[in-house]
Amino acid sequence: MVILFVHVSAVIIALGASLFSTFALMPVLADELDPPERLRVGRRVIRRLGAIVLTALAILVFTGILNVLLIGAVSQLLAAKLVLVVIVIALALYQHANLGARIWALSAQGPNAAIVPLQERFRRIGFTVGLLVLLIVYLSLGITRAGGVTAAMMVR
Amino acid sequence: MASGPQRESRLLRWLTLVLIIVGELTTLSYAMSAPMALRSLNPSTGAWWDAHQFYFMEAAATALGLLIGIRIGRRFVVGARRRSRMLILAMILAIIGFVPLLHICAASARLGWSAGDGSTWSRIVDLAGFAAAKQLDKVLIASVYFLKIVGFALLAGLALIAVAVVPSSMMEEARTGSAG
Repeated sequence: MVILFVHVSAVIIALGASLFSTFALMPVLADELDPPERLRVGRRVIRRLGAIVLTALAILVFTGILNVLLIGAVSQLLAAKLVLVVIVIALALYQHANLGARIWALSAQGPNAAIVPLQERFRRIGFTVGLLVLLIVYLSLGITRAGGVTAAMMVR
Repeated sequence: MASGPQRESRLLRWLTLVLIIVGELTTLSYAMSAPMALRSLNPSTGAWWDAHQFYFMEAAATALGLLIGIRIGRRFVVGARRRSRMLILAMILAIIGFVPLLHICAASARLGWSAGDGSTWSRIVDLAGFAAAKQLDKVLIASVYFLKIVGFALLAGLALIAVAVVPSSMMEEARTGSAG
């Protein structure tokens, strides 16, 4: 129960942080702040977001493997989910350890034309990660439902 | 003379190769009952190998999966110095967490796959005949087990790189501050 709680909390944090920054924080920063200010705040937000999302994803993997043990079976749905998890972590690493780090380094000297396409790519990758996490959540519901049905059939 | 990143890449390649060879040998040894042959040559060594080969197979699979995961994750990190720092941190975390991960990944890999193993067995018998199929089936089961451990450990390796990115970037932020 504790493992499942931590697992679900990590999903909420990873997904919530990504969606909040993409759809709430960044658009507001763009509207309210001047470019130099926006850049200074944005680069720190990207750094903090990276720490939160990557930690949450790592917790997701470890609690996820423990959950597999608790479910007690490997199904095709679970295999598909695990493949998607590998893709999500790879994308999140690219987003934060590559794009985020490049934005951080380039923005150190103030506004720079090369930052804009990187920020755009950062947002696109973040959006894709969010969508894939939602798909993983959907598959997880399928796995737990199927597990419930199997358990019910075994009781009968 | 090779530079730091080149030396690292070469070391990782060698480690991967060694782990693949150890994994293959132990899997085949387990599946083909090699300790029986070894016992006829040297009973004590054969008995020792019989007791430990399974752990060697599991350990090689876990280490291989972790290493592949770390190598894949490392490719997404930009900057040679940052990449090197994260590699070292991820390796330290992998060494610290190796024993628990070994047990967890092996236990997860032992879970049954809901596919038709009966039909696979009949197909092997059709192709190779009953006597050879018995041996091939053992090799197949051991190889699938090995690969499943590698798969679970790969996920853990990727997660370790993700963990390694966090302190590194937080330190960078603290060092350079908002001014960069």
